[in-house]
Amino acid sequence: MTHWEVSNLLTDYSEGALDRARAAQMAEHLASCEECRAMLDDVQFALRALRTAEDVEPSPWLVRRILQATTGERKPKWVERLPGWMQWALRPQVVYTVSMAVFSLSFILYTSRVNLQAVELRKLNPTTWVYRANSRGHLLVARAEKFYYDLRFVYELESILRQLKQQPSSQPGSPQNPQKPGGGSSDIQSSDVGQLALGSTQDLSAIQFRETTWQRGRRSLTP
Amino acid sequence: MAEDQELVKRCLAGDDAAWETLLTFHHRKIYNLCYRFTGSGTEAEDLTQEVFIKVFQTLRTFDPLQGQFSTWLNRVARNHLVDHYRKVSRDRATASLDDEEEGLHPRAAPSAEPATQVEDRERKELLQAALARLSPDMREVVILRDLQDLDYAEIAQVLGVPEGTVKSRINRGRLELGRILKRMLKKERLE
Repeated sequence: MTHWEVSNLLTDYSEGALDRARAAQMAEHLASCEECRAMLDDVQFALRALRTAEDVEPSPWLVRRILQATTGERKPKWVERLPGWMQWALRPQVVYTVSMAVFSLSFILYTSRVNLQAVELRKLNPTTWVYRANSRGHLLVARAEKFYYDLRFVYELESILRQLKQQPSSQPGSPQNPQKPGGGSSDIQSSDVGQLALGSTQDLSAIQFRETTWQRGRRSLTP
Repeated sequence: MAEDQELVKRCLAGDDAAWETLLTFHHRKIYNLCYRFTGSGTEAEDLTQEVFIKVFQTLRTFDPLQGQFSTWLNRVARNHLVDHYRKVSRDRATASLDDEEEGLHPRAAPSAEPATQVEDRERKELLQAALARLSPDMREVVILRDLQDLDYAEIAQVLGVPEGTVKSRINRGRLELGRILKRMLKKERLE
């Protein structure tokens, strides 16, 4: 085997791609030829260096750059956008706004007596809506006001009755009205009665005043 | 691969997502090919972009009956790289190296020491510098065979030369690369 033949078969020999006879001839030549051994060593050295070489990583924006130069910025499909939307929709501000909008709409629909199961074109007229919402809103406010006055009247009545019950029992032993020694009981009694009468008059006027307030509340309910 | 062909079909039908998938799948290989040719990350990125623009524009010319998409892509990339080198006139002949450096023979006795040194030291830079010193003909076959893992038939198809020529170039390319690497290591050791 000549040097030229050997130099042409170095790669095949290194990769084990030669048949047995040819490989034996190569080995025989290599054993006796220092120059060809050196060539084989060069090839094997290059192969070792190439096989240990790692891939080089391109910059992460290379794909985006090429996409921009070819198809332009691709619009993502709605499925790809969904996570982004969800993230936006679940923000507290958005949740609060939507809840309030739903509540307001429900309130308007309720007050305007719109039955969503049987919607008529006439009922969807905004003027009708406003009129109904207005009258119903007023009615609601008036009812709330009446309830408030009723409750207030009951509490006030209860407190007045409690005061009236407490006054007779506290009068005799009261340190503010000590009994004079040696008589004069008729004077004391008359003054007590007078005070009681005065107190009762004050209470009655208070009751009258409160009744008037209650009546005023009732009147406001009348359309 | 059948997947590539399906993606190409979808690309031709105007499916941008298919193009993105095709690009994501192949850009790393092409970038590495460009990097091994140029030795510069920025230049390799520019060339990769240019290659894919060309691929995008000429995708209709890809014929699945004539070979795999990856082979066609490599051919487009290789042709672009050759054009690029012609344009910038950066081709270097191996012969010029031989004139500059001392004689190649006789060789020293085989030793495992240099290989270990290549692994231990800045392997990437050294290999890249050695590849840059190879002639373009030899460089491209060595890169396609040993770094891109293409077989002889594929390389022959990409380069448009007979398989025998490919084998011969690989043989000479590896031999030359080994010599350059050893010489560079020796020089560095002396320094």
